[in-house]
Amino acid sequence: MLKAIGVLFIFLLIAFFQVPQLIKTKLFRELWIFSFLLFFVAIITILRINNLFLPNPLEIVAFALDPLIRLFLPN
Amino acid sequence: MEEKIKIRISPFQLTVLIILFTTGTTILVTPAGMTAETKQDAWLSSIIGMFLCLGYAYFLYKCGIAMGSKTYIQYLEKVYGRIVGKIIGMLYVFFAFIGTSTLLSYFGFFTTTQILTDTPIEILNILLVLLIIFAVRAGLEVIARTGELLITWFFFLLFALVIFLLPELKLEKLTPVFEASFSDHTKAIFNFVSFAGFPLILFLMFYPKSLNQPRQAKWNILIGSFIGTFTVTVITLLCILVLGASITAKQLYPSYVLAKSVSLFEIIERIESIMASVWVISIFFKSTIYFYTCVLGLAQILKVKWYRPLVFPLGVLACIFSTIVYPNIVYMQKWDSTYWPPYALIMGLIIPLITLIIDKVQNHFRSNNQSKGM
Repeated sequence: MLKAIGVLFIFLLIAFFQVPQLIKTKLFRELWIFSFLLFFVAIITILRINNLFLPNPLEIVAFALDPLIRLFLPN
Repeated sequence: MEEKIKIRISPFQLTVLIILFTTGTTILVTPAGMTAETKQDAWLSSIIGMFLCLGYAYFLYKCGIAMGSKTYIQYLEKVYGRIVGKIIGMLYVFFAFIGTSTLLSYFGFFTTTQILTDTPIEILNILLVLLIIFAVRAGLEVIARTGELLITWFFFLLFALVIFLLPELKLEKLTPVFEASFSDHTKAIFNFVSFAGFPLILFLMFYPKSLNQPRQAKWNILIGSFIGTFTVTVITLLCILVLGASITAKQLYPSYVLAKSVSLFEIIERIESIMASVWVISIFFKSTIYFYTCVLGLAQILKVKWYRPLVFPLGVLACIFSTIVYPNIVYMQKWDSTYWPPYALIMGLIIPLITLIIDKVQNHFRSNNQSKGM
C-alpha cells in the first residue's frame, strides 16, 4: 500500500512538471495521450511492485515465431 | 512548437551513431555465440558477416532514397494505407521497445555479475534509464554530439586494449583452419548479422529526414557499418587468439575475460574496466537510439506534434519491463540464440523488402496510368 502511494506520488510529480507546459502550448490532444499513457504506466508499475502477473513481451514474440522456426528447422 | 525547429544531424554524426550502435551489445556477447558454432574459424564467419552487413547497409541506403522526405512510419502508411501501415508501424515500435528493455537488462546483468555484485539490478536499470530519458528529451542532435565526443575515447580505449594484448597472442590457437562446415558457418553468420546488421533498420525512423545533406549519406552509412563490424571482428579474432575457441565459447562475456588476461611487465594488469567502459559507452548509445526510435515512432503513429511528453511514461515502462523480459541469464541466452535472429530478420529485412517491392510496383502502375490518360 505504502509503495503504491509512493509510485503515485512520483507519477504526480512527473505530471506536475509536464501538464502546465502542455496547457500553455495548447496541445490538448497531446495532453490526453500523455494522461492516458501515464495512467496506464502507473497501473503497470503498481502491478509490478506488488509482484502481480505481467506478461513477458518476449514470450509473445516467441509464441508468434515458434511455428515459423519449426517450419524451417524441423529438429 | 518543436516541429518548426528542424532536427538536423550531419552525415559524420550519422556515421558515429551507426558505429556505436553496431558495436553495442555485439562486442561483448557475439564472440561467444559465434565461437560456439564455428570454433576457431569464427573470425572467418565474422569477416563474411561483415560484408553481408555492408550489403545490408547499402539496402538501407536504397530504402532511404525510396522514402524521400518521409519517415519510415509515413512511408509504411503511404504504401499499405493508413490502418495497415499503422499496425506495421506499431510492430516496429514494439521491436524498439523490446530492444530498449532487453538492453537495460543486459546492462543490469553485466554490471551485477561482473562489477557491482552487491547492488540490486533494479537500481542499475533505473540509473541507465534516467540517463536515457534525459538524452532523449534533449533530442537527437544532443545524442549525436555526445557520440562525436565519446567516439574518440571509445576507439582510444579499444586501441589500448588491442596494443596491451599483443604479447599474449598465440597464433597456433587458430589451427586447424577451415574446419567448420558450411551449415555451422551459416548459423554463425546469421547470428552475427542479426545482432550487428538488422537492428540498423531503426535508423530509417529518422535517417533521411533529419540529415542536413541526405544525398551524401551513402558512404557515411557504408563506412559506419564497416567500421562497427570490423571492430567486432577484431575483438572476435583477439578472443580466439588469446583465450582459444573453447574457452571463448564457454564465457558469458568473453571480451571482458579477454581484458582480464592482460598482464604487461607485471605493471599493467586488470584493465578489464577499460572493456567495461567501452561497452557501457556503446550500450548507452544503442539503448538511447532504440528508445528514441520507439518514442519517435509512437509519436508519428499517434500524430503527436511534440514527442517529449511521451518520453517519461515510456521510459518508466521500459524500466519496468527490463526486469521482466529476462527472468534469468539462461533464458536470456536461449531467447537470444533461438528467437532474436529470426525476429530481427523479419523486422529488418523481410518487411522493408516487401514494402520496397510493393512501392515500386505501385509507382510503376501509377506512371503507366498517367501516361495512358495523357
